[in-house]
Amino acid sequence: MRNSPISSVLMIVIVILGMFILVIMNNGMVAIDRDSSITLTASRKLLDTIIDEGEIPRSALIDFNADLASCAGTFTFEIQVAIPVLDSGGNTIYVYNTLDHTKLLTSKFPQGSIVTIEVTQATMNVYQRIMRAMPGMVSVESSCRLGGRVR
Amino acid sequence: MKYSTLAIPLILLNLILGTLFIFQWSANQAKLREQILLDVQTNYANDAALEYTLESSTRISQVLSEANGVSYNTFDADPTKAVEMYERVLLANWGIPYSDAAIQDFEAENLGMCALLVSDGLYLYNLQTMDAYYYKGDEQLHYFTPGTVVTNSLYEDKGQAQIFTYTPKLPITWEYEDTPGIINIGGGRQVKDTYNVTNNSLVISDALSDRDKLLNSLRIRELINHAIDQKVQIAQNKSQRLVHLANIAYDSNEFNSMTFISYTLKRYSDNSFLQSVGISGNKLAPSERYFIYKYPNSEKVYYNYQRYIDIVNQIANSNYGSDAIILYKDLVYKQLKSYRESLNASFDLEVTRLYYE
Repeated sequence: MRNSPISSVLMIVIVILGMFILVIMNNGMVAIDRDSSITLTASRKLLDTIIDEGEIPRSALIDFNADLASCAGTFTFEIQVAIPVLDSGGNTIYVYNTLDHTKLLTSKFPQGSIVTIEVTQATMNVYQRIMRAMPGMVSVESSCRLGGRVR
Repeated sequence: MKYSTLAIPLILLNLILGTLFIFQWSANQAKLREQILLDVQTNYANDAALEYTLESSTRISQVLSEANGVSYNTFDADPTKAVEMYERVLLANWGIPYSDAAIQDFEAENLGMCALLVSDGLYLYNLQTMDAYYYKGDEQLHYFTPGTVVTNSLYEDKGQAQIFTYTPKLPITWEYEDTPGIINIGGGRQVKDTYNVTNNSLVISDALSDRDKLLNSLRIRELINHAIDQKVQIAQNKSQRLVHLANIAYDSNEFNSMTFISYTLKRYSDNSFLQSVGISGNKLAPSERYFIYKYPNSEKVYYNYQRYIDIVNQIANSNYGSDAIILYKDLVYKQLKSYRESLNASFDLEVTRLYYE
């Protein structure tokens, strides 16, 4: 058995599984956990600032970008806003808009606006690719979406 | 030879167990992340609901203009506005455009109940059994409280239906030494305005202040748990954990001012429900006032709290022999911020720190 080709192949599979795949998956999962925590905390910080100030201060945006850059994966973000306006009948309607990244610092959000921050993961690590390829497994992503109303 | 034959299946078993463990751990972590995210989203929606209710109160300006504090009993609360804003913000959090169809789906699938607690009772927005009547005038279904006698021939009885609707304001009642009473929980921890229903005279005073916790944990919990149970029975997902969750939330909060409570379910990919209980409270208080001043022969401008104005004057007297020049006083923080932006570069606005011995 020691010299049979079947046992050799089996050993190679075991070694690859044990030494590479499981380790990679474990590391990938830890990275996803950390990324999720960072993106959620960073989004909350930025959203709280917007809710209180009604605008995006430069320092808050720099912090937010730095937080996202510290993640293992690559992330993009989008800020959407629904601004309440009065129509001709005196009813409140909401005008939805996605902010251009060049206008983040100059945008003002009036009281009652609903601001939503969406952080999306742009890349996938090996662990995520394996999980996605396996049927029945939960799709694992670090993306998050948070919205709040400006005070 | 024999040992190596045994070793291979053992290693294989070890690897299989390790892989299964990682998959299970991964699934648990993913679910936990979703739960945390749902809790945060619910929290933002709760806060928005309560703030919108306060801002849209028609009497809030009168309350805020009162010089000597704020009375909780003088502004009104509209539960429809609270629920509308809660749903609007939560749907925005989930990336669903706000529409009537989206609201119907949300209420059928996700909303457990909402409750708005005010000083003398609470409104519930929950699943209720109502009598449905088809009205030939506008060709729509209308809902009435069970037992309502409808004599108009334009209404056609369609039996009973389960719909989300508001209750009238439910007073918070309890019994003290066999005396039924209605409680007003406004104005802080002290329970005030409690009166005997039979003769309208004040019968209970300080003895009640120790009992407000009991009051909160009995009547409110009973009503809200009943509302949750109704939804859960419909969803056929009855679980003791729901009530347990709600109880934890009630035990850690005291309802002594306007409070908004929500209970939300969200279906997870393994077909179970994530649950989130959100509680938002408010406490109205007069804004902290500031004043801006500078010392004689100095161009530097300072600001401080209005309550320190006497101390600042004392310091100015001892240092300069005269009062500090007060430029502006009685500003709230936003006015102070805009004033700071309007200052020239030569003016530097700084807060003075005061120390006490």
